[in-house]
Amino acid sequence: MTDPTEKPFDRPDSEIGRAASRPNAEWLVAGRGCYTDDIAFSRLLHAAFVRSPYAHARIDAIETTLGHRLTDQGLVE
Amino acid sequence: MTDEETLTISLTVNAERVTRTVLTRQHLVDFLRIELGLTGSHLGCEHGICGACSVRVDGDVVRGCLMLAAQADGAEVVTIEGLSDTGEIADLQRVFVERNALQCGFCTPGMLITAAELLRDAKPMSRDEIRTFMSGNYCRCTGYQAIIDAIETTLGHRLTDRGLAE
Repeated sequence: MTDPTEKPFDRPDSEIGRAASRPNAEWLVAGRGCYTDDIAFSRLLHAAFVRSPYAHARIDAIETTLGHRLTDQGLVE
Repeated sequence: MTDEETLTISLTVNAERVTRTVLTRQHLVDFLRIELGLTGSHLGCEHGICGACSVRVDGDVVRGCLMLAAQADGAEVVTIEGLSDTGEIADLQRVFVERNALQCGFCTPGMLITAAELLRDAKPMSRDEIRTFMSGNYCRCTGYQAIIDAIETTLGHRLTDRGLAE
């Protein structure tokens, strides 16, 4: 039963009014965080975006010659 | 590799001798991250503005994204991992944690590398002067106040230790 005279900040285990703990902070300041681009596993593929050089145009074709040339390295067109 | 131009380079990274054959177009920070697995240096803007790629080359802070690995042949490179392991900035790192000068931590290695240079040549600096020194390192999370607090505090401690505090 909640004690009606107990202020919200006094409730046991409440995070309110307390500094949040940062257990990760120590290794982050050591440069040992693992961000998305830091993840490496075998056969990892990379995406390259082909962007239109025109702001407003009809797409007739998308040139993928570069993709063909690098296919032997496992890149998907 | 394709028929692109390569170069064999030999350099010291975090006090270890490293010899690798690199594409001449590979940037230093990509070499450190991909070839050597030193992912502590980050890529933010990839054009020299944000400072997340900052590393120490021959004693100076440089943009890893603007330097080619080939240019580092014969150089001494120190990344955040190496700097952290030497303990040179242990006080700064502790104060960063105490002052919550990091949220996501992505900018933090760059901040620490740059601040380490400020602290190495420690002299009394105003808060504005600290800000100016750190203005090449961007943070999207903290709003910078806690970072400047942490550096100001650490600078004060180091100056006191040397008897130079004002």
